[in-house]
Amino acid sequence: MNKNIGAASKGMVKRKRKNTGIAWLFNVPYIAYSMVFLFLPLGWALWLSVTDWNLMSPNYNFVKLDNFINLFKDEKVQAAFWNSLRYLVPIVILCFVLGVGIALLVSKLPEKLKGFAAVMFFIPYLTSGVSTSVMVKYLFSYNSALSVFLREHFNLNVNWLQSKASFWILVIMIVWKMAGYYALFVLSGIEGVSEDVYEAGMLDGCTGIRKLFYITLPMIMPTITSVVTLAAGLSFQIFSEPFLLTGGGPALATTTWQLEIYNASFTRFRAGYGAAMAIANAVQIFVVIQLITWLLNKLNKKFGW
Amino acid sequence: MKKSGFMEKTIRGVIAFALISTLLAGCGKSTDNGVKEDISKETSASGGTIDVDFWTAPEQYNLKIWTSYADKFNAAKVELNGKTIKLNVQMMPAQPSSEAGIQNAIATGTVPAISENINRSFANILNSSEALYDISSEDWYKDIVAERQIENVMEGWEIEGAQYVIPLYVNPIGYCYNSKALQALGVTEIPQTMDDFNTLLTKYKDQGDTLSKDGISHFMYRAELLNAANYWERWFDIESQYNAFSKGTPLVDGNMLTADKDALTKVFALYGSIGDKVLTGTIDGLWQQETVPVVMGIGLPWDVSANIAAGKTYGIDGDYVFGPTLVENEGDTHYNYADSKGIVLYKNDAISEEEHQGAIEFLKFVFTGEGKDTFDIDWLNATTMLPVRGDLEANDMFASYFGENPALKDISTFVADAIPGMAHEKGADIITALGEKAVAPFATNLLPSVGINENPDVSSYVDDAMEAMKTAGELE
Repeated sequence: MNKNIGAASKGMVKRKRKNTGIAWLFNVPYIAYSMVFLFLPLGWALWLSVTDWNLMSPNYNFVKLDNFINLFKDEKVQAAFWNSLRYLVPIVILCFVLGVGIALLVSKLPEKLKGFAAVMFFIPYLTSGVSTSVMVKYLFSYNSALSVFLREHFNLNVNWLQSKASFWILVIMIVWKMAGYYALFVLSGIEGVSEDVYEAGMLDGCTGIRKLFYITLPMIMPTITSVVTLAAGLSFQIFSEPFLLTGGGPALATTTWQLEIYNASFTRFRAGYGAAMAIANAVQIFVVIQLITWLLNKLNKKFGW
Repeated sequence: MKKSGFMEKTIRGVIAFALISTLLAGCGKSTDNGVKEDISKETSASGGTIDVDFWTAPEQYNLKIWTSYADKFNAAKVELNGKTIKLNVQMMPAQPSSEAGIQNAIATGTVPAISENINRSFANILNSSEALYDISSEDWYKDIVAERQIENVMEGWEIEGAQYVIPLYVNPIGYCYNSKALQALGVTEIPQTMDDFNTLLTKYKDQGDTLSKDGISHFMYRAELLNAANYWERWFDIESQYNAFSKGTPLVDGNMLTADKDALTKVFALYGSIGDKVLTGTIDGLWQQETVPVVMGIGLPWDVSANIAAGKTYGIDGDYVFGPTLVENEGDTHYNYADSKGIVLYKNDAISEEEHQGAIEFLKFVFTGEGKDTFDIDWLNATTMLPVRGDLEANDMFASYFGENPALKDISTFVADAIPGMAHEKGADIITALGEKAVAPFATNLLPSVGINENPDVSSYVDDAMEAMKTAGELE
């Protein structure tokens, strides 16, 4: 008996090993991809961050942690740190609210129109940041129809892209671009909620807006978690819009990590320092995303996920 | 059993290797015909030809003119060590900038033997990275300098006693005036001195309301004063006028802050005298607008093509007219900033001696050989940027061109007094700091709070500028 059990268990272990081997084999492309495009660049960036290399000179120095120490004194880095959090709040809230709003609107459309409407809202995601920025620059220039109208009728002379308004212009641009994309996630979540649940809710008197708060949103919590996490991550990756429209100004009010990393590495040719910035950026992203995920997991648990 | 396990591991290993190799294969350098090319010295010079890569500025018209001269050069079948030199032209990568493209190419060993589009500041950085050849003692270089009569010009290009760049074009930066506004103000001469400028400013102050009704709401346009990140804008709005006031004293020399504080104060004071009539709202294509809302702006020669395309006519009786930087006394030299770029030869393990020599043969072909009588006029026609030549105003080759292009004729008179940018490793940091700590705060806080000719105290901003440049460049 024991012998049989022993043989069976050996057989299982062997099968397990065999299965593990095949799993590894199928994972090889991803592992290789990660090695080449994630871990090697990460290791390279870590090494670069402790040097003063400009990527061109055959000579460079090992500067230990000097680059990281200098980050704390750099007002541009401080601005990027706080600005990424300033961007995060409105971008996450607006992307969530608009994403849910668009998804609800589309979900109520006749089946034939749903696909078309979803694609229409998705199109801004496909437009490049460069072309959008050109349009926005034109819209808010001194001699645009909007500026001329405000000057002539309200005596308002707003220097849109070099005033406090520029931050909100960038936020609106990013939300406009991404809300339709996130709406697709939410839409697929909404479509996955069974009609039975709504019918059961209706029997208990859950209708109208209460249906949204007590059935729809709790039922799509995993989707909402994804949307919020992705939108939060987005706040740390903003580049094209401030690069083309504001240069990070006025007084660093719209600067971002990506813009400062680019300026340090490729405009001022301090690639080592730029790499240190990139690592600090990664640490901030990791901490913030962990915090958001922890909060959302709590919410998920509350709703039984 | 053992054998089977070994086989299994071997197969997995081979598959893994194949997958990784396939992925990495995409990272190789590929030629036009799709054949993978090793970037070693031997391959590029094999088969009886020496392939020489030339990178042009990221502009279509630059690619076009260099391709046409490369075709002529290739057709001439110039030989070196019994092999034919073949010049391959392509645009330099410009995402996110051409400098970053070259930086990346050097780091990855894909840099060409030769390229254009390099200014003195970047040449200094490349030189300090040991990425350029010093050409000052080469006979062919001396021949080119003599042929183009640029002995004096080359003094401004010197970096630590050596030469690395053959300057190709120059955009001297002065001012541009709205001819219609000048006419409305009764001004018939383009301002040359500060007295002329002050007269013009006072006339504008007196007649500002009338001009405003015609859409001229401000005296000067300079939205870029607020943009500190684009440090190169300081070359145009601060350094050019500073060069005139300081009589050519460099902001930085070697590791010393040599800026003439009085001259810098005068530049800030000039903008201060205009006050809230400096227009800082952004306008794309200022001089192409139906109504230009200012009397003057910074004179950027590359606007000429767009102005012609927009149907604008040049001249004091036309739509716009260029003027020099302002000087204090009549007869003073109108020193200005030379937005100038040229050709360099790269030094890199990936570039063989034969490729380097091949690149030199091409330079000889263009500047002292078959192309010497046609290249500059072809260049001017293609790019509307003034070639760096000492005989620009006297050479008959350009007479008919300038006859048809009076804007460029006027700009060409500023070339002799144009000074290239500083050669300091931290040049970008220094000028960025000038913008961040002094110019942008000055334009944000002071200018909007004062009117024309109120002449505010600018000394604190000048002190900030001096301190910022010193700190950013770790200067003495």
